[in-house]
Amino acid sequence: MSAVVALLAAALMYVIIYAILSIGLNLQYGVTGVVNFTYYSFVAIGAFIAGVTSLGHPPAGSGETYILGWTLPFPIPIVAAAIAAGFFGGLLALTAFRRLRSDYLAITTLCAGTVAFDIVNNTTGLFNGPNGIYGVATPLSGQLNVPPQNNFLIMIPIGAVLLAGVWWLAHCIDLSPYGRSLRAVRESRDAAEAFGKDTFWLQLKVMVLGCVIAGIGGALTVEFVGAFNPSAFETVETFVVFSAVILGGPGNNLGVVLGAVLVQGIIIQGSLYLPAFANQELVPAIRNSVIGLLVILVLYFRPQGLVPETRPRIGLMRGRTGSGHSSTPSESAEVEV
Amino acid sequence: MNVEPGNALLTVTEVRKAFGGVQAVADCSLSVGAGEVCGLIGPNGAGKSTVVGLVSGSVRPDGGRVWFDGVDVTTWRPNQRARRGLLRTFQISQAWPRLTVIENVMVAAPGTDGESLLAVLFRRPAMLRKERERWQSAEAILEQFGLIQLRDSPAGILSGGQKRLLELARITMGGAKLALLDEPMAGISPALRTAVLDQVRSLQASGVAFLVVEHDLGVVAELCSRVVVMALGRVLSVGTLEELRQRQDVVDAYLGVSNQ
Repeated sequence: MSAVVALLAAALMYVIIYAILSIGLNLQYGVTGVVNFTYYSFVAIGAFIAGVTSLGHPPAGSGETYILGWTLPFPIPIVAAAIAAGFFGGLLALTAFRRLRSDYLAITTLCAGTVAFDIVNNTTGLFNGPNGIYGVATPLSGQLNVPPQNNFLIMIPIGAVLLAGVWWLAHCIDLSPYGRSLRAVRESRDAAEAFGKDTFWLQLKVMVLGCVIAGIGGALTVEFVGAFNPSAFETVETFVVFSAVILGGPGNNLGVVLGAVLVQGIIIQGSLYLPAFANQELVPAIRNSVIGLLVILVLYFRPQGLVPETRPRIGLMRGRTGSGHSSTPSESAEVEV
Repeated sequence: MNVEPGNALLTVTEVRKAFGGVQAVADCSLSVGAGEVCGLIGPNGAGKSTVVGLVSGSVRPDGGRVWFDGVDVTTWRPNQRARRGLLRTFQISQAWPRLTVIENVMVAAPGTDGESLLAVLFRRPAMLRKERERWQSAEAILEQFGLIQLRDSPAGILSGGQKRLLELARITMGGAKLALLDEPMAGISPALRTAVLDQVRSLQASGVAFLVVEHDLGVVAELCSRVVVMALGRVLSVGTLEELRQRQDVVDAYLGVSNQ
């Protein structure tokens, strides 16, 4: 397998992971208006949990220490990652949504993320402190006899299936009364309450769901890369996912996936192959500046993003509903403009 | 007020609310009967909007009770009260701007069918059937409110008056027993004013009760069979607008300005 194919495959895998993350963040931020500035912490929880449930105990004398140390077979580590991220997402929501709204909520998530980072970074017994976990094997690589450098042959199909599932879930929510109520919460929480919506519960559920998706993305990351350490979940990582959502079109699943392709596939992966000039840090710094500038330009000139949110044209049901129950119930509500 | 809780649709007894050191509502008792349109008037700062908040549940009282539809709802959240049929409009219209007009009405539908993941993923035929019923009712209501041409437009583009009508359309869809209208005529054109008045009357004819906070006494006179006057956080008097015009304390507190 040529090196170019491997590099392109790695880029594709990162795009898949970021598309999953963008859909999850879009449910929270784009659809419901919940500003979770510590989204990537839930990716980290997923990555660490998937790691420690598949790594086994650290080898004696290695100096590594982490919790659990199980060797659970695929796909249980991914499920465990999703559950753990969802659990902590729910916990954050329980504390933050009771009293706090919008800006204060955003600040609270940022603080919680900082606390989480410091705990993970400074508690060596948890996930091996600042060194993090490494040596996580690609699932099924033993059975399928795939060498580590070609692990994308396994990870891309797994990622694609999970992306399809997450997409389908988000799509179903979009076209349901659930999605409509979430959008109502986004636009006026008071009015949504005044019309019988339990806004706390609606936001809590979407927080958990978005974090479950983040956990899945984290599990895929650690299984693909093989390692994860605290430096991988600094605040800037959340900013990258936000930029994909904002550039692509908050509230639109297709938009945010395109945003993931643009930010991760083109800008970040593309910049990896630029020649390093001046010093090692310059290319990543320029890359982040370009992303930041793009976000500012989009917010200024096209706040709805590349692909704006569409609303279902329920009006198109008219012809069918008039004629009784002859039409199949599945299609008519799903036409979008 | 010697209204026994339970006799009327809405009964508020001796509610109090202070914000910081300011006693917004010192003592307010009032009641609204089923199908009645009751006015709530008073000068700025009288505590009318706080009373609306106390009745709708967005403001928790420091003391006193609120009964609605035979139940003590004092500790209920706004969404719980709404599900029992206590709906409201806002002083500044709160349409959901990026939802379409018909979606705005559909969100207000009573019940929460289709709002769980379970329904979304595994009960799609039932959900879509229900959705179609909702759509049909919503479209009929938009027809009734003259908003049908705007069905698929985002609600954010509506004029102030159209947003008022949309709020009333949501109340209709929500199956209100009692609707709180917080200054329904604020900032709307004369033509739409008539439309709003007509819609309130026709809702009343179908059995909906109203508690209307309004500064425009012409509107109060046209709509309300009974009026509660508040001043400085207390109920000053209750009666028809004509009776109230005869009372010197009421005139001094509020009506005097308008009568000149």
